[in-house]
Amino acid sequence: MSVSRLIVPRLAMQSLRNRALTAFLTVLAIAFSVTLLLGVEKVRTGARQSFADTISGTDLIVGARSGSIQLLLYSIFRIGNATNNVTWKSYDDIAKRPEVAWMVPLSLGDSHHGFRVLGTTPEYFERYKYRHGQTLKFAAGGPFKDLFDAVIGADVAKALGYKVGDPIVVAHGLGSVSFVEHADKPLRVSGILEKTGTPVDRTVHVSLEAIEAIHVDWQNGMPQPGQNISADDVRKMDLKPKAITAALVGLKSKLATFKLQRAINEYREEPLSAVMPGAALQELWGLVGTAETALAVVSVMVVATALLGMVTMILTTLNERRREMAILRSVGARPSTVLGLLATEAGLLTLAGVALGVVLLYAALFALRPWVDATYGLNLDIDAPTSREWLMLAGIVVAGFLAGLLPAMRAYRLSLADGMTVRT
Amino acid sequence: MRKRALSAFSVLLFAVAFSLPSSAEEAHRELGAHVHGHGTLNIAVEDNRVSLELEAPGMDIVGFEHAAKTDDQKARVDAANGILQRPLDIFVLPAAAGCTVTSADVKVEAEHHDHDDDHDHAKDEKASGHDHDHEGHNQFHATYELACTTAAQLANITFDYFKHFAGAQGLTVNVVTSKGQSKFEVSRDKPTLDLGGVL
Repeated sequence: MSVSRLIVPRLAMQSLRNRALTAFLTVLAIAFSVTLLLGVEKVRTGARQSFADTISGTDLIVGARSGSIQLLLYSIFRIGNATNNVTWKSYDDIAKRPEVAWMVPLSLGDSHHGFRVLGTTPEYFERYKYRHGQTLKFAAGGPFKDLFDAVIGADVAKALGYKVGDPIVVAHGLGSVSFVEHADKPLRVSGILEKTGTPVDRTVHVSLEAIEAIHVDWQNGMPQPGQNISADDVRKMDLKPKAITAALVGLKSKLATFKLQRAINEYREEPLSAVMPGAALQELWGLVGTAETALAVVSVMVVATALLGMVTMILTTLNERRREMAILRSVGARPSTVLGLLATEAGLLTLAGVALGVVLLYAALFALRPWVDATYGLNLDIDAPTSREWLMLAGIVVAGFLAGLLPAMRAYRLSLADGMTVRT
Repeated sequence: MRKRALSAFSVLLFAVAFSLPSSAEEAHRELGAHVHGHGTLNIAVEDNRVSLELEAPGMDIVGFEHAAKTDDQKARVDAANGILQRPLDIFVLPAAAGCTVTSADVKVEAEHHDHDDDHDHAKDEKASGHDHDHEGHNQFHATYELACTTAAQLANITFDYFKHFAGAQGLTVNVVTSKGQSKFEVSRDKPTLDLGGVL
């Protein structure tokens, strides 16, 4: 009488049921590690996507001659400063070109409690797009209508507790503590934007004219004594800007992207650079992206630890199960069947762990997604595992099965040596 | 700060504009980056229209960067021009995309090259006529327009470019599609490009 091989999975199941609690804990450990592994993968792709979607719908960013990453950093991420300004004349020249559908100027240089102040046109709120072409939405109020109106990002509103209608004083230059302020010409909050997860959240937006207006009686970077021009008088002045920091350009046809880029890079009257935001973002991610590899390595280690825990669990129970093995042998099971039994047991445990892990992951995604989006501006897409993820999961199950061979080999040798005599 | 920089800048502009009216060509000096062995290919796809733009140093294409002097050099430039006129031979597109060339334009540009034809620099007329007999860095600049039946099938591009031009080692490929912009690198060792994710 010999034990059919087909009975092995059933035997493994029965044996596991006998040790339900330890088995359950092992499955749980594997499940958590799988959730972590896939979760890290989701966060990683989500972060990359959110980053790549910081700005979309803009074909070119124009600024003073510099590298693409630098231009992107100061114009979109508001990190660092421009090498030079762009004259209004050049802006006008580019805006008039036939390929250009729209152009939005950006003027940086002032700050409010450490948040950058951006001078722009109301068109910015329609043209600036993020995350698959979403436009900016107002949580309260609306775009600036008056000269001294300001629109603030979600983080600014939250950090400083502003509501629509509150007055704010812009400080000259950058930094959270400034010695010269534009106190004579306070701005009024006209709108608060919804959270986007982009640098827009940390920006105070005003009109280009407002930037000119608050600097109108300044000379050499300082207010001039005895030359105070009141806020009302400023309204009557010509506030056409003379320079901007950078500009966003949208094209009528994408086919013209490279032609216009070349024309701007070779624009003789002023050294300018036009960069493609998508390509520059990709380059920038290449720099910061090494962190994602570190995350992936850590989560792989967690999975390895969980599998090691499973092997330990099977090994420690092996001693108690000598009798079980002996009975199997007595009814005709070959040592190889014992080997198969233990390896199958490990495989089943891992499979259950992986399945539970995937369920846990999606449950967590559904539960936490809105919160993650609102708090970190990180968009986690809920979609079926990618082929790469399926491959990883299959890899884990195989690894679990193989790891199970370790105690299985031991049991195999024991069952050979012990035979049916159990020494206790 | 902004104002001071601006006024200094406009003074400079005025100085350039008025003090040297007769020598504007000399007043403007700048050099683009130039790396031997490495060129740039720009691909823009919209609907079923594709525009390609190749910029490659003369070193990559013909092995020298001065104006062709000897008969041999002239023959090499002619041969290179001939190959560059057939973009589908150097950038092999999937047959399923059904692309045909609607226009091909190949130019050799000298280092202080003529400007974009949209600019009205009277001087340029002269510049294009004068000979480039100097030890400069000539580069090839080719622009192509393609019409495809199914541009969505453009997933794979094989760069036979590297087979035709022995001096070329790598190309930076900028791609613009309705899905966004991306940047890739292809090289002699890896002469294929997978555009599956961006089309």
